[in-house]
Amino acid sequence: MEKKYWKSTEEFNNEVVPDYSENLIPEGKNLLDLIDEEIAQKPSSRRNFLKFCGFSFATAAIASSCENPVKKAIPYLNKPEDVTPGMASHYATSYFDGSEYNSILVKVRDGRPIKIEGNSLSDVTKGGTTARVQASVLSLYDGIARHKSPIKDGEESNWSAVDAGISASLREISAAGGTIVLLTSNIISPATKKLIEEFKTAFPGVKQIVYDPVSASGILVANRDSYGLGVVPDYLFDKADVIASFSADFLGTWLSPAEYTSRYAQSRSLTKGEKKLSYHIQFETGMTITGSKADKRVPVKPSEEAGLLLQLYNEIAVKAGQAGIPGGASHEAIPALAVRLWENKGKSLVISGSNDPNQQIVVNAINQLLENNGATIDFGAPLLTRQAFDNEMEELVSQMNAGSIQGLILWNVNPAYDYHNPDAFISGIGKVKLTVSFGSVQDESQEFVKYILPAHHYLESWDDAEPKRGYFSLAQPTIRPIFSTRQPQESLMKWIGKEGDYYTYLKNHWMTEILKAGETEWKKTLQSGVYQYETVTMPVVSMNTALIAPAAQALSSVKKSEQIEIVLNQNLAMGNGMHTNNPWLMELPDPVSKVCWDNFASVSAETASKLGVASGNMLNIDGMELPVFLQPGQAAGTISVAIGYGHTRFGKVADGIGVNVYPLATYENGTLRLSTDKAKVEKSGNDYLLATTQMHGSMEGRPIVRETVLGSYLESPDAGNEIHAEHEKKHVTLYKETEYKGHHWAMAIDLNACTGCSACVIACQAENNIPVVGKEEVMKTRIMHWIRIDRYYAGDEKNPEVVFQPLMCQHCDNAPCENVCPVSATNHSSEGLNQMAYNRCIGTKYCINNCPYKVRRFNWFRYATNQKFDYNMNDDLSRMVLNPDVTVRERGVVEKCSFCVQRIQEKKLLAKTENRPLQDGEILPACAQGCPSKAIVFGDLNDPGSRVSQLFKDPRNYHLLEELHTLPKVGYLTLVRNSEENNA
Amino acid sequence: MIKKYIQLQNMNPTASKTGLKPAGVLLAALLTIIFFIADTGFVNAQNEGKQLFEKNCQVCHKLGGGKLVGPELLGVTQRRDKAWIAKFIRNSKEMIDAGDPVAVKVYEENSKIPMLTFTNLSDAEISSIIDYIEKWEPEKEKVFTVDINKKEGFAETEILRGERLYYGLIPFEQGGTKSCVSCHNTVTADSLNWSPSAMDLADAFMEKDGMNIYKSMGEPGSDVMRKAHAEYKLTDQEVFYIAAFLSEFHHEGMAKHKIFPVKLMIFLLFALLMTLALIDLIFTKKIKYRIIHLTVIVVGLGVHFNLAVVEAQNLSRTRDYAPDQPIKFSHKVHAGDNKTDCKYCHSVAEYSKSAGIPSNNVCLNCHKVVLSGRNSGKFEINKIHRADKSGNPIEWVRVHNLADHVFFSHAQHVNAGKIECEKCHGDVAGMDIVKQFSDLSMGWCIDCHRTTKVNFKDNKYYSDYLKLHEELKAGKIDSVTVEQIGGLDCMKCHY
Repeated sequence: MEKKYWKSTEEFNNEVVPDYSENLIPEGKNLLDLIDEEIAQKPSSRRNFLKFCGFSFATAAIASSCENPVKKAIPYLNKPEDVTPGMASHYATSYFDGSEYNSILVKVRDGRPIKIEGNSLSDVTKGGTTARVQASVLSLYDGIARHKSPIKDGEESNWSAVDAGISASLREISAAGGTIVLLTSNIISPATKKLIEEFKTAFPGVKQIVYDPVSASGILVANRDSYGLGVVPDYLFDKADVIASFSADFLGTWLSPAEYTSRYAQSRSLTKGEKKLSYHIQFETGMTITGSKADKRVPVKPSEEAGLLLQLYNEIAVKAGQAGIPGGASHEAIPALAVRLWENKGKSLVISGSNDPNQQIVVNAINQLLENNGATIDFGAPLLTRQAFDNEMEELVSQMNAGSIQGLILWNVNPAYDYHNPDAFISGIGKVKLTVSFGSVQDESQEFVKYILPAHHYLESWDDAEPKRGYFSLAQPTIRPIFSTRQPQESLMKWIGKEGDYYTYLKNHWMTEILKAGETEWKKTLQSGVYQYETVTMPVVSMNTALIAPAAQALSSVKKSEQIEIVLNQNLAMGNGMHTNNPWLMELPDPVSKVCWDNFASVSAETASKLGVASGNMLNIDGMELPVFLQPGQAAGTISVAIGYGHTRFGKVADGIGVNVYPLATYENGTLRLSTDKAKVEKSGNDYLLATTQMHGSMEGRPIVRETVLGSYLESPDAGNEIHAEHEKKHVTLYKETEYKGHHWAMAIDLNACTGCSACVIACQAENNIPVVGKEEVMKTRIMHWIRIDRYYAGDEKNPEVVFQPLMCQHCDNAPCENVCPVSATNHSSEGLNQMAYNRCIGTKYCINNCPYKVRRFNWFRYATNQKFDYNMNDDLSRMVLNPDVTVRERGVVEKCSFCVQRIQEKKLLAKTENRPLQDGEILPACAQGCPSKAIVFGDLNDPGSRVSQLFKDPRNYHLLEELHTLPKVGYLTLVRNSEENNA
Repeated sequence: MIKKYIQLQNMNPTASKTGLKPAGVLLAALLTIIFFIADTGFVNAQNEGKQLFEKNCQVCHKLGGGKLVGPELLGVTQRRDKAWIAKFIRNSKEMIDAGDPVAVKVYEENSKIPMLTFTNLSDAEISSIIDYIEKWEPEKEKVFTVDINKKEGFAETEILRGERLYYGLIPFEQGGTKSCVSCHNTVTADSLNWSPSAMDLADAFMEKDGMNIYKSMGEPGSDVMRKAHAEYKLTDQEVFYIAAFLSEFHHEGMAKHKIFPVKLMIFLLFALLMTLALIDLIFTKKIKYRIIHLTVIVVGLGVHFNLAVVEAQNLSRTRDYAPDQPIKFSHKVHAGDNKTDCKYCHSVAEYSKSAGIPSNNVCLNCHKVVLSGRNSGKFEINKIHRADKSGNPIEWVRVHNLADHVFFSHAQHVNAGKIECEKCHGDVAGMDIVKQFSDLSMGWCIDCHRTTKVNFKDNKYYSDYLKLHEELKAGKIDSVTVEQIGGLDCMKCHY
């Protein structure tokens, strides 16, 4: 018996889903009336036009004397040796936006970066990427938000003028003994750190403060006190058999998601004959992808977490024969968890996303009891991407207001937007004499600064990174600076009168301090992008246990709040709000809620009815109006809202979208909390429609996702997938079966590995020139993504299980779309690809109607030139991002996933010219390349040794709607959860 | 001083009106011709040495400018005996081998790089070279009677006079049968013309540090130009007028060559005939036999239909397209006569989708040394050097344009498929102006894919095609065409 899956609360409750398109039709009229009226209003309609066509078409053909445009072919004057027109080069570089690190390869075609790929040589991210990393190439070509030249007092200026002005001010302030604060985001570049030290020496009044709106301050403080190491350790999810996470969204947004996802996927894999899975339990408030992947998910209010941690500590302490500590809740999930953790001592991991140092101390104490330090927690290679202590920023703001700060240099930070008390910051900055911003794009804080010295985009810069101690990587420019911008490092060098450029400085630093080797080694490192020291054995750290009692005391005094608690979370697309102006990310549906183009208040159905609101209403939270979204699995009495929206001065896409909820954050006990129970929540009178892709392609309750539990899987590997064998037996046809004489391409997707992180969605969008269509069009179900993440809920509405399923064209060998095309624009290739010839398509959309998977998309508009779709394709600069090997589709044609045929052809050609057979795994479609958990495997079914052939033979493998005999060439591997109960 | 006076006399427009007696004119003309011939004879003797020097020696030797590859030659006739020099020029290697002490010394002083032998030169030619070296003097700054730096702001009368001179409406003072325009086009033309067009000249003249028209008219730079201009002795003032015209022309731009719309006319003619026939049939009824009306209408419709179909098929097809290029580059000279391999210049064709237009530095590989072309003289080759100096790449006109939605890879065809360039591009080695040989239509692609056999057995890539290998072995098929490995799939070319 299959589980009952449902896609939305409406479906769960058997409610009629409101059809928003009906709202557009006034009462008493039907659609045809409207169309007639519209035609009547227009002086010439398409119908009239066709009337006049006829013979005049032929006349036009002759009389028009159509001149073919003269096309120029302009060669290089001096061709650089390593650039070949028409061929892409890949450069290894590093992505770091101030919080997230990724080692990447940049595909550069004819001098312009067009695609980000994961760098598989990196031991940190292992070739994985995230949606934000994939989308970062687009912001390079943002000709509106990016500054074109330095700005002084709001007027365009030039570099020598601003340098002279700033240098003089710096000297003056420094001579008078004033304080200049370099307010930076996390800085992980060793060379930059060294340069900042030199800057401090040159101007004694300078001090650096690291500011991070979503900091890990709680962990840093707790570890500093517990171990004397104020760092975030390395969490080895691959070595942990039991993972207990307290609201740490480590697969989505917490600390280093790409790295953690790759490790987590290793412990959840069953494709290589593994007989066990790790056990993952997640306590969280809102529904995240991490919670969705968990074997057990427990919705809790933020104020309950402290009690749960204390309870867990006490349970384990009893087993360890140690004294308990006062306080603690009595949640039924904890004792069983304690048993599991204790059984897997040294192979377990307890983490918390809380920013409360006391909670983190208790977490440390639990891990100490479980002997996880040195086993699954590595202090030898700590994560250096989080360095901010929240109290420093608090002090800075009060000092600024007291007038004791004379200079403020903002480097990759935007406190006027993301500081919890923006008014205090703004009034403070008014009292600072010298204010400089290094922002490469416009932001809210720049309104209050005197100088704006635009930085290069990271794809134009030289840099280095040390994301984890001992793991280094380099960043190199992949394009000449587009605008008159300059690296902040070069500004610092100029002001302290240092000769040379930052590249020389960086190279010297590497050759003398890091590589300690010559030119050859430098070039090798530059080529691979990464460099690491010999791995050292994990140091054993011991905890200062005296801290536990006071921390416990402080925690037990926290009362479980009865108020509505509001949690500010990052969503996958927006993160902390730095990338909000990126249209690709703006239109990326959140994998759980499936909403894009807005932030909203997630509430459970129960809480919503208590508040008297329903889906479509708005809530008023401390004066901010937010649309209500009924989120199954949301903890009762809580509201989750995503940060990163509500910009006012950030660019054409970001401005005015959603609400900025940073002001709801509270500062407590030395750290910033992204939750509050003090906000006033009430129903607002207004209504609001969210753009959701939720009901797209509903599969009407068929066995689309198949899942089982570990026990059943070990008994019989085809558990939950027995029906697949049944269908396989029924494969008979009257027609002659097509033979695939060469390759037969196929794709296998491991539902166990897929976390729903959506990196593939953006990777596909970048690779295949997929347009952004805007909120209105999304609401009309016209989103263009070729790959989408379908999300299914199962079970209890209060705490459902969630399954993610990436869905793209299934490349059916017996494709229903092909039979109905009147012009054979879509047909089957000799290699098993379901082909789409755009130049043949006449836009009948029959194929869309006949596709059971609803993966075909129609171009309703000419998105590449239409000024109404002012997102990423309609001006010359942003069109630079387009992939020249993929057609930009014309209005009126259907498009869909092509299995990245351009990549298949490229690699086939390479093999041919090198006179060798294709290697398995050589061809990587964009989605598979960027996947951090490597859930997508692509290859040749005709090669019995290929991985995809192996996976197709796996008893877990099944196809979507296989009962229809469509013979899809995408296979899914049954989801196996490590839990006992089966909600069947 | 006297010369100048005469010129001023001649310039006076009234002088020609007053006229001279016919006999005097004849005498004067005769004298001029005699002087001219003598003059050119002298010039030729001196020029021969110069030309031979430029052709054979200049690559390695300088006159007054120090050592290049070989030693400085200024004053060599004083240092060495002329007979020795002649012997050395003819075959230095022989002399060194024979142990001539001076020859050996020279050989060793010059990093033991032997000088080329010139057994092809006659004694007279060698002596003319030595003569030239002996008499060589640094070029004297020529005194011009007009402002040779003027490029803008010419008076209207100057421009008009220049235009008339250019078009041959008024003759040159010192003779010449043809006008400028007979070689230097002022409109775009589709016939082959090696001489630079008026626009080319104007551009070169107007460019900063560009062509010095006075100097090049006075002393032609290449054989080609020398021959073409042999009849002309333009005065400085005439050149000045022509410069004025070129300046004006530069701003005005070149007139487009208008194509007479023959097909449109045929279309309209039949449309008219049919209308008349129809009018007569219904209203006027002048012609008795209806069969005539019907014939006119049927034929007319047929013509119209045929035109429509043919033209619609050829829409955006550009077979035989042979546009003017910014440089009169001849594939016939390069690939045909000089047998340069296609892939020397179009090197990326082996591994990229595009064949690649060679960058300027590739041209310069040869044209650093080859400064004068056999058809076009120095002017066209100079454009490469001008581009190099100015930093503006040459904007070639693309001849082969595929539709936007077609992916085509040269690497696939040239490298993997081992298709000869000529198969698609025709006999480029015989084309002075490249024209599109194939129509690049889809039918043309498909036809070739249907019949072309792939290198199935030798290329290891195809080892993946197990089933086809089996069929080959079993004798079911004797070869594998592109079609059989998916060469007709849409997504081979469209994605």
